[in-house]
Amino acid sequence: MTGKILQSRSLSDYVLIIPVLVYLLFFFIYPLLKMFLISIFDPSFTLKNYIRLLQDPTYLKVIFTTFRLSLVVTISSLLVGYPVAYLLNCVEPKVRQVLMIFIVLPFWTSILVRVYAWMVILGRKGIINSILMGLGLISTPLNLVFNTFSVTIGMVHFLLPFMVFPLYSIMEGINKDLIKAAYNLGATPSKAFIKVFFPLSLPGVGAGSLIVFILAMGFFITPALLGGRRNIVIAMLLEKQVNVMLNWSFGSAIAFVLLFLTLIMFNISNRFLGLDRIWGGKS
Amino acid sequence: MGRKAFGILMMVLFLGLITHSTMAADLVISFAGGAAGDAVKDCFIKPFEQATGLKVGFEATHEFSKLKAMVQSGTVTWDLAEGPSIDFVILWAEEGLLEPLDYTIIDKKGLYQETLHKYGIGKAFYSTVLGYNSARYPKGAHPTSWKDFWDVKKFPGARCLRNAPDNNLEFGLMADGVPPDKLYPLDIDRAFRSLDRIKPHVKVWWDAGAQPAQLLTDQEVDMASGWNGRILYVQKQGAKVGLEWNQGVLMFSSWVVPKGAPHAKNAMKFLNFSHQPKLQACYAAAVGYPGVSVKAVDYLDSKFASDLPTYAENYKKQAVMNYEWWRQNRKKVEDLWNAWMVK
Repeated sequence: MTGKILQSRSLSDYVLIIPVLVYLLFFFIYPLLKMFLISIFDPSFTLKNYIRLLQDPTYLKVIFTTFRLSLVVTISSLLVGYPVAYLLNCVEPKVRQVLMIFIVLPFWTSILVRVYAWMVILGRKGIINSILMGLGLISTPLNLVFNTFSVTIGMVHFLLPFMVFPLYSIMEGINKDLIKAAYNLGATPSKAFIKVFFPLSLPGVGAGSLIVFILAMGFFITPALLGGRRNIVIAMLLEKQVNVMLNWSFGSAIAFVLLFLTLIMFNISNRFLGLDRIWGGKS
Repeated sequence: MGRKAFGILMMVLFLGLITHSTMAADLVISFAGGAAGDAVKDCFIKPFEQATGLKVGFEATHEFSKLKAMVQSGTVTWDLAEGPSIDFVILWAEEGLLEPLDYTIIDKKGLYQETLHKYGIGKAFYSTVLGYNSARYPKGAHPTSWKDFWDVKKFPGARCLRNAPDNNLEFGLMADGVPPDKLYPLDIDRAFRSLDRIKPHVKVWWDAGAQPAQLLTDQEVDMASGWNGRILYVQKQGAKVGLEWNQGVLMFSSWVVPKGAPHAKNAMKFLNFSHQPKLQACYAAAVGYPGVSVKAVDYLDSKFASDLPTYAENYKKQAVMNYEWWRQNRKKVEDLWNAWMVK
């Protein structure tokens, strides 16, 4: 089917794509290439930045922390986002519009304000601790903030829309008659969901997870402000190299290792979840 | 035809709009925003414009990487920039990013001589001091040294330190008994061994200058290292936060001129103009960070002067940061710090 669509395209379709290609070439490919050159020329050709990165246990540890945190955030976003996307598919269009506003609303608030809001909620004198202590359930405040827990909550809060929207768009495209057919053949609602609906929604799961994971790998503000010593992520070390130490060679090398890891994740997801369906490859 | 002319007109207007702020100015200054930025505008820029008739443009940013990008690409639009401490200024100068300052225009007389460097000049003194929750530790029974900060039995409570080696190595050594005037050269191993002892009790490692003051105000932590102006600010707002000058580390921020600045000469004139004691007093009163003019204190209310790190009583209690040591050891210490943090 893909082939037929391509054959039916005329030359003018390809001409229309030129501005985008030119744009990407100048504002994405060229800077990327330049950054790569910066990472291997300091000032003459050298691989010392990559060697330093791969030999230094500090950076390896921080890269591992970043990877693990991104994974936790992605899974949490999926667990929260899937039911939300499912609900969006079930409700009346009018209700859906209202729900959509609630999902998009956080985008209009500065990330700093959102981070601070979590401190107000989770802090020692925060809402949760005040209520629990007021009820006499605890005598000393719980440590809810400046740890992996608060970083995960803060990041999921920010990244949830990126999970919900791909899920929603894939779920919307699922032929609901297939579910009815499953019922007709004697499936219980849960069986119909597990055997029919869920497998059909997997490309959405893959796309949402991938977008969330990639964004999480580069997160900086939330771990810096809501995290503790154990939540130092690679973007924080990168920022310091670029902005404070002005060591762009090493900073670029860090960025490239990050990009490389992300591409590996992309490849794995693509192989198992068939992401090209999202971008309209095969339908 | 008419459409085309309209398009060109819009284009010209648009280009005019984006270039206006820097093209029309006789001097472009970059500095941090916020209260300190407002003080630069009110105390220095406005009087300078009135006195000279020159037009000053400004950009509120604190991204030093932008300065490097400008110089390397040969599109320098800043003439003067608020820089970090002198040890970094020297590192940048070595990379060829800075213009030497013209001390034939900038009069050295009446200034704190230790802030005058070939490539950078002091902007304001500030001190990293011990801030504490004054509701929990009332004045008189509060922590007065880094030894007390390290003593979690005598002063139980959550701690907060900066996520950077700056000052922390000095604090670690003072907590271990090194007198403030015998810190340099820093014994790095001893400093980290001392920091090992406080590490489990540090709840937050701050990155931005506003954090410790805010965390103390919210009583999220009970003790924190922080910049004196930030703590003074929340005190004025009524927060139950105390400030101990003893064993604070005194430093100064600086002004730098990027290499190839189009109006470098005006930048020098501006610096010299801004050193008038009266203007420096205006700035110090606004932010709590005194500038480089010794005489500024004469124009300040004596009650207010006691809140400044250069006030004689406060000055003698503090350690003075040795920039030369930091310049020589910066790269090594930064790596050691990152390794120590994630250990």
